[in-house]
Amino acid sequence: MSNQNNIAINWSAGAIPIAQISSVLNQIALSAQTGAVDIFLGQIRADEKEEKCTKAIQYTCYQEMAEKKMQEIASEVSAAFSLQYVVIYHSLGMVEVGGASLLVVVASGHRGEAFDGCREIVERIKKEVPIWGEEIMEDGTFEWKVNS
Amino acid sequence: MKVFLFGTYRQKAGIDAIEMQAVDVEELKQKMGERFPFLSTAKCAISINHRLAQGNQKLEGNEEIAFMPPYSGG
Repeated sequence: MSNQNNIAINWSAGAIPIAQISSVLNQIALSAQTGAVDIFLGQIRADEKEEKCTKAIQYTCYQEMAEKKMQEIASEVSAAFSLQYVVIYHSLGMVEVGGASLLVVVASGHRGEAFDGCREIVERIKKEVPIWGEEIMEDGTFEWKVNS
Repeated sequence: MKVFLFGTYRQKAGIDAIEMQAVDVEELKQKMGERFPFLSTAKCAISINHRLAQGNQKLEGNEEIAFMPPYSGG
């Protein structure tokens, strides 16, 4: 985990436990100036491709670069949207269908900033952070995930 | 310099990293393409010391380089 003031970047070995959401909400100790918290939870979908169905995704990353990039994204979006807290969890290793692989929690004074800032962080993570997902299909074959 | 491979590139090359010598990014791309032909047509991002390469950057020889396929996190 890397932590800078009100930003925390974390890796989860396997699926992110759903209980982590309440733990994060307790950790960020919302201030009297907080008016909104937005939570994004991305989970593994059972995609069907050419009669094959996704069973799980195996995540790997370039950890040093991924942490720097996530910290940069969180700092820039935090400044642009006046966010008070940003907490990010991303999975590494195997996550089965239905498991959570990305959790982003942001807090701000008003809902508009929380909604927009949270979305911006999620979109930028998918585009800019060196993480790769290899889809494991139900028939035992593998395919590298492609982000839309 | 040490050049790391990730994702599908690591699988195709069968190795995690390789030592290479090059004076700039273009020369490195050419040498990597000769060593791993799939890379010469691949749409890869190249990082130098954890930052994306900007054009044909000069290389000192002690950098940490990575050849990376399109990202697919989230």
